[in-house]
Amino acid sequence: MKYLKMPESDVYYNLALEEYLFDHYKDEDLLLLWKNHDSIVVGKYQNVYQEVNIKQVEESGIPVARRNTGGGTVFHDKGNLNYSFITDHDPKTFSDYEPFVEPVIRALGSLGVSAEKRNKSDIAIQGKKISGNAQTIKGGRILHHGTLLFDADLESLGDALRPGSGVFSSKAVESIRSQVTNIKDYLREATIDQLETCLLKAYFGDEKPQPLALSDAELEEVSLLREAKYITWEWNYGRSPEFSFQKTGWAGGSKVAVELHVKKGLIAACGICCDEDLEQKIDSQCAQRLLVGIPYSYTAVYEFFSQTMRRDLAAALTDCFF
Amino acid sequence: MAELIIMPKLGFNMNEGKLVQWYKGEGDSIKKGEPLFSVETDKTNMDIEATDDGVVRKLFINEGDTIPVTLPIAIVGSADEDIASMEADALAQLGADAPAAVDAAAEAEAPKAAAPKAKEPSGSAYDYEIAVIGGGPGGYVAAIKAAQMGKKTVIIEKEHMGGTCLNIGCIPTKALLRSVEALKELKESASFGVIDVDTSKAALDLKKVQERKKNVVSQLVGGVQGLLKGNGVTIENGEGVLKDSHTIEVGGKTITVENVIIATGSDVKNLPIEIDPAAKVLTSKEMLDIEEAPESMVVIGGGVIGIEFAYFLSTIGVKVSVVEFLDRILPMVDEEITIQVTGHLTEMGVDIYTSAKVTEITDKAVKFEKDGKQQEVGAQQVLMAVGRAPRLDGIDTEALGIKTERGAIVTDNTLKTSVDNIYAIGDVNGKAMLAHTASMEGIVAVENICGEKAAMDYNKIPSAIYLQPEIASVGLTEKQAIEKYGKVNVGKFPMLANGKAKVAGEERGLIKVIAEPKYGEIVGVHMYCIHATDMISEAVVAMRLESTAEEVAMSIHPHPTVSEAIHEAMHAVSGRAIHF
Repeated sequence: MKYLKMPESDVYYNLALEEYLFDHYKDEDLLLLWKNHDSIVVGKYQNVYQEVNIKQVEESGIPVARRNTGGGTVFHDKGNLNYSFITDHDPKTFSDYEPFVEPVIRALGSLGVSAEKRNKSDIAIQGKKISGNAQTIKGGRILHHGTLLFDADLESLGDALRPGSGVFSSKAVESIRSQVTNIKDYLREATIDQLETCLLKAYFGDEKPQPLALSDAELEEVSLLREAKYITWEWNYGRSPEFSFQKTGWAGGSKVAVELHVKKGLIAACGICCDEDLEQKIDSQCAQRLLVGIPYSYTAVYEFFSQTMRRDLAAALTDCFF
Repeated sequence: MAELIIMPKLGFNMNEGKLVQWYKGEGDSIKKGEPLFSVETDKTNMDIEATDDGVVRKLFINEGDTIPVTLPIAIVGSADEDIASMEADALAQLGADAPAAVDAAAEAEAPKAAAPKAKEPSGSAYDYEIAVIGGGPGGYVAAIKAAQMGKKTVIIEKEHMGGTCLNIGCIPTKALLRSVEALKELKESASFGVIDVDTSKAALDLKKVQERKKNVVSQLVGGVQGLLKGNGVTIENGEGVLKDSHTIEVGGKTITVENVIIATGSDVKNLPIEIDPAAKVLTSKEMLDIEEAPESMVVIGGGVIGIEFAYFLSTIGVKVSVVEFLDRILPMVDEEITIQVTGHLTEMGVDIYTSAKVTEITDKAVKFEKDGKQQEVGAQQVLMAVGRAPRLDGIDTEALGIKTERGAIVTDNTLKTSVDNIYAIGDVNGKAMLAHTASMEGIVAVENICGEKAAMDYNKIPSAIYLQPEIASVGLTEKQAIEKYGKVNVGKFPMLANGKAKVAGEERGLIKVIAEPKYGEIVGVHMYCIHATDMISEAVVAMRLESTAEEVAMSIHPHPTVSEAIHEAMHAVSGRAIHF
């Protein structure tokens, strides 16, 4: 078994590296440890727009990344340690989280923290989630990865993951909200590095962990994968399953009812209903047609409206779309 | 030869899978080993490869559809093969389960279709047509019913779906009692011929009991969530605050609603007496989590909750004393049954003090006044089980103009409150604090909102008490019936004359039927016997259909069953039981 402590903290690079290792290193067991800068990571088959506050994400510039495994949305920052385990898949098992989660629980135990497996794929301390896990199985190999909230900023987590007040309908995988907490709160004194050391001990035992080193050529491929897939809008946003969105809001003194159908991140159909005064001002019939094909992005919709009306009205109207 | 591809059962516990991605479309070729589709379930996603070369001839479901395992999802075969009969079979199997037909042509048309007509703002200007505050047995049933009746529904729950019932009430209590039943059966197994098992050391590992309980609860909670989602109900997590009759604030959002159903439930009541802070006083909530049995326990309150816990604790070896304010325990049940149950508990070693008013709780004892004298009973721990009071968190009844009486929201028998578009169901209206009442109230409230005439009948609500043997009753006790009708006809049947009870080895108890004199209509049925809680429904149905004891006696009850005792008791009402 080999291990790699990923040097970078760019979430897109790290996801590309994880995929590369999963696809190419088929003969060994690999343990990867990695941390990202502030970012939001959604599950492979999720609807990004349903999971995050798009307006907030676009305004703050926080990166949104889609991973290759199933499950829900999580928030990463430097206080969160990610671990990935790649090994052969035993075809008799499916969705079995126990063997992967057990060493983590042991590692926490060795730090004096009593954690337990909860809800099939979470790890919790006293009922509050500290680790979410997900898996993907392909070609006889399994990638299991999970987060470990060591010292994460849980406030920002809540804010970014709260979409607006519209109603979404889709067949996307939905996140399951849980009460979360940080591991650090249950330790007297410890650093995230110590947690890493304990994890290595739990997986490798007394053996000295063998580090994995990639060649320059391999690293180049990882960068290319990052460019071609992980950093693209098409993968992160466009891959969202199609969905409908409905919301009733206020703009220019009128109630506005919006109904959208979004496919591959682009507005595919749009309905705007408001009272006559506002309809004159914004020419909603025309807007409905012209919005088709525009990305379902706060910035894009706002830009569209500000071309033909005052900024404050454009902003209020855009708010009805998210 | 064409192959019928099915949703694979990848794991033992997998019942359904979500088809998250098709890698090929109809008409595409595929090679052996190439991934054809991807399945996700429980956060694990897996690519499934083709087992042979071929062409994808038909796809039966769309990306994003969830379908039970082993149902057909595609056909792969050679390009020119006749797959008509395989296709017809598959469609027949899918029958009701087939998601909207996969029609590639129609799919491509969708974006060009007329823009969806957004709802007119005036008229249904609300975010939701029905909002349910509280996700317990009242709330979640109301939400599902509302969705089934076509209403846009949201349900707001601050803790767990299933409310008190699923999480800290009915279900966990019964799980604990089931474990006790298993222990009891094991200890009595020798009399049934089981040998070579040393039952003297058999005991309950409360930690394991708790594990099982937690498992049962979490599965049921998940089940409720699944039902809500499956019916298209929007779930909001957080405490719902009713700002005005059409606005609710929850989790930082504000939502507007046309109708509100308040289902916020109830909390444990406490006695207004002096309690030493060093005394270990528990409520049913803490009791349900116990992992270590105390040596002794005083149970304050001889109602259902108090008696069920007294029974549970006594069975696992705790010295229990019950202190009850009224003149008998289990006041909702017929007097004859109370007498028998009191006898049974006393046999088990439980001390019962009735007509006793608790005055003080110290760290060593519970002091009470009985027959004009001050008495006390010592114990390690105390269980406070004196009832529950409606919970109005997030509902400022005064500000909203909602009438309350003694802390409960006042409702009529359509569950409407004093505010036209606000309904209140379940424990919060204090009428009959039982889960099944809440559920029925939820359905009645929703039907009324939808314009149908429906009303609650509070006279035929069954109650169930899970000792062994069980107790169940519906309607009036003998005493209440005499007060109402003067003379009544009573039919009784003792369990020791019932064959199945004898075979089962539990002959304690009796079944009692009370009928009014004029038409012979059944007005009360009380059972103390094994399977009572499962059998009482027969009585509820009979009473709802205004049946006479004679009519039930003319219905054949199978042999050998405990329900024959009901049959006999019905005969006994007119003095003609056969077997006693």
